[in-house]
Amino acid sequence: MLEELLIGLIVVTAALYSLWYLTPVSERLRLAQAIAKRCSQTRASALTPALQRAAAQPTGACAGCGARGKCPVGQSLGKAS
Amino acid sequence: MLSSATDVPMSSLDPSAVQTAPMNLAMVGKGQFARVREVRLPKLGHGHDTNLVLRLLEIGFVPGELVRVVALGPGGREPIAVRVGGTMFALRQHEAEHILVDLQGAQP
Amino acid sequence: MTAATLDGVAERRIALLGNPNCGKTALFNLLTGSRQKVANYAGVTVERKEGAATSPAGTRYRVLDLPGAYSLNADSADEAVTRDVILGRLDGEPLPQVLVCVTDATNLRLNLRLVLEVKRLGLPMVLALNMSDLAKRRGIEIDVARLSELLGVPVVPTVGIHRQGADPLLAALDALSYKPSVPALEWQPPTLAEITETHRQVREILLQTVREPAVDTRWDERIDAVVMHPIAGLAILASVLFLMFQAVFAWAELPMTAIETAVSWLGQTVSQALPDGLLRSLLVDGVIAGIGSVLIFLPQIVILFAFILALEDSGYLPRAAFLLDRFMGKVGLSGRSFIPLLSSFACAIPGIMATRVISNWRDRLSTILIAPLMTCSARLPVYALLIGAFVPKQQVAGLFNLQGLVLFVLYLAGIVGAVLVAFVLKRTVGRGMHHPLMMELPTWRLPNLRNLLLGLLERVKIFLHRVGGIILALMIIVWALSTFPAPPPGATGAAIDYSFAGMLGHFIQPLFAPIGFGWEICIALIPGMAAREVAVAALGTVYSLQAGDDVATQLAPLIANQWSLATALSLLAWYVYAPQCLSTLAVVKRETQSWRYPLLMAGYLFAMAYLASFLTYQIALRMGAG
Repeated sequence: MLEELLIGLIVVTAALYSLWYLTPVSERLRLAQAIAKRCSQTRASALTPALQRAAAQPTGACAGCGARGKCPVGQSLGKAS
Repeated sequence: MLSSATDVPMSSLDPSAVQTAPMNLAMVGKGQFARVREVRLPKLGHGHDTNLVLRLLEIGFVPGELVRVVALGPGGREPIAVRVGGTMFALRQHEAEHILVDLQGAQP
Repeated sequence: MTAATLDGVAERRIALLGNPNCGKTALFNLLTGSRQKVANYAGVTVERKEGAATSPAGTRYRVLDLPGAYSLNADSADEAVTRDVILGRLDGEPLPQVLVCVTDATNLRLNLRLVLEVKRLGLPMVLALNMSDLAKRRGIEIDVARLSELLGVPVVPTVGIHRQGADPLLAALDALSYKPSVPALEWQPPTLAEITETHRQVREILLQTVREPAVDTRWDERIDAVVMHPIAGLAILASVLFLMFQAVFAWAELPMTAIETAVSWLGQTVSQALPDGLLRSLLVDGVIAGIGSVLIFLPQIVILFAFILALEDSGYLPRAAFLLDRFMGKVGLSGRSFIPLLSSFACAIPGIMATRVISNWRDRLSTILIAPLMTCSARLPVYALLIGAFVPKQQVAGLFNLQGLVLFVLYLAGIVGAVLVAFVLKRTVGRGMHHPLMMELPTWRLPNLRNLLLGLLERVKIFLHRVGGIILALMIIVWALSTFPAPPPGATGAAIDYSFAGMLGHFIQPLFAPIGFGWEICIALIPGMAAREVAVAALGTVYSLQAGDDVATQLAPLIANQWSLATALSLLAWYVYAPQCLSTLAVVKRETQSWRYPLLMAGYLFAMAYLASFLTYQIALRMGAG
């Protein structure tokens, strides 16, 4: 029983994480802002800036590989115009 | 120094002028040195060419500057790798045609 | 007015400005280390890089790395941003308090022109002579005091690649007095006369302050004579690429075996430590088998990146673009597409973002659409797995290994596909009129070992982060879907057939039957859309579950036994052209500002992949590989 509970918890966490990760940043920000508005009067509002920052972290686009903009490849692209 | 003049050889009027006919950078052979005479719009100019000319000047193709054609792309025509003032740029034939030069030959 | 931060400690705002190729990025990295934030400027697809720096004296700076520009007379979106930030024209972007003009000390002839242009704006400035170590090595002597006198601004030598190379700059910044931001004077696009005059001034200044030996470009030109030669150059390019792929297999063997052993050991230990049951299955089949199958390919990815980074650092890439420009022109691309396309070999995302340097919209679109065909490094685990399982470890012609050869062929197939697609695009969509090139060919440099290792370390961290994050999460889900519902009592056949995943797999399998994909492959393709390597991880989990016993057996021998050669080849062909991961689609949407292109891309890639797989499979069957 305990084992199944633990497994269920792990799987659900994994599912939520995957959903969060694969949602586009704009949608995540909207969700975070909606939550912030709802929780603005409660104690949970202390967490909302952290939530918004986490939502803004790029995980889909340019940091899809986790680079967060610091991709070592492609930094020395030079052009004249 | 910006003119849309057609090519008029100066030599017919002034015997002491440089004897080479006006040539542009695209005509310079591989390994040859040349001195920039001016940068101009070609006869059939396109809308964006004024910016092109400004940019060519900004990156160093000013009158009097010594340049050298270091390499030509496969096929022998373009791109043209030209060293100007310590920097090397790859230009299209179309871009190089804007730069009028006096050929100096194999030695600077 | 100095900007106040949340802790009330004042920060000073500075901006780095300079030509491309002056080492500005390295200097920025040195100043800010890992305290960087990357976003976009409002309303444009130009990257905004900001970081925090602290001088040895303790002063804090907010550093903005402006896009490289040859002139304030902007010719591209990047340069327009640089101009607008300096002139205070960009909404929401405060004026920097001090401008740091970064120049390449070995090429002041070109770099000082921009400095003079900016100086006319009357903003507080510091001049950084970057790469001063290189200048010294070449025997270039710069009278820094005199230069400072002539220009009227502080001048400091910096070395972007030494640990304390930015200290003189920080000291100079500390010594300045900071007033409220002074807006720039009026700026007009320059006339030709003005530009010529500026050049004359630069020459004047250089005459008085710089002494260089005359023959410093001799080595460069000797190397270029060969590397940029139409025939020798192309031969060298092909050899370099070929060598790269050989190395990916040959050099990775030892580290791969090491990882393999470690993973096996871990699987066995966990198996023995836990009682039989769901948790053990989750850990062994889900986590260890899944993650382990991808982790094995880390050495190969590292080798691939080492090559790419070294080539980039050395200055070779623009020369390769030079050589390929004509061929690319024939299929409607410009030589400027080369570097973005090459970046795509690492990951299509930076490659697609790099297309911003292409000013012609049609060329840019063409490049974006074919970038995914440049086999990204995330596909490497799939290739490596299949090649490792099905291609024998033989020598060809006594010198090359067969596996590396096959990998080379696969990459080539991607490139050929890209050329075809570009050609079709050229015919249907049509080519724009003007294809500017004007590409700088920087001087040759020995790749800096420290930078290289840092870059590789970064890459390894990225990989591990990805594996430990989304890939792990997806594997847990795949495991769950492949384990539940459990088979009813008295059921025959593998347990996995009764699970959600099993049912789904069997359901869509008929669609893929003509190309020889079994249902396990069908299942693995789905999470593979989130991240390519996940397909390998998913296969690892599915087969481990199927294997029944709770020991994580190696994936490669398993599929070598169960799949026909035709299926393996078909899957390889699929992956060369397959639609790319969701992240890439998202980037395409952002860069092209519409849904049309990512959908078009996914569509045509799917069709191409299916066709290629179909042909491969059917032909292989006919030839007896079934």
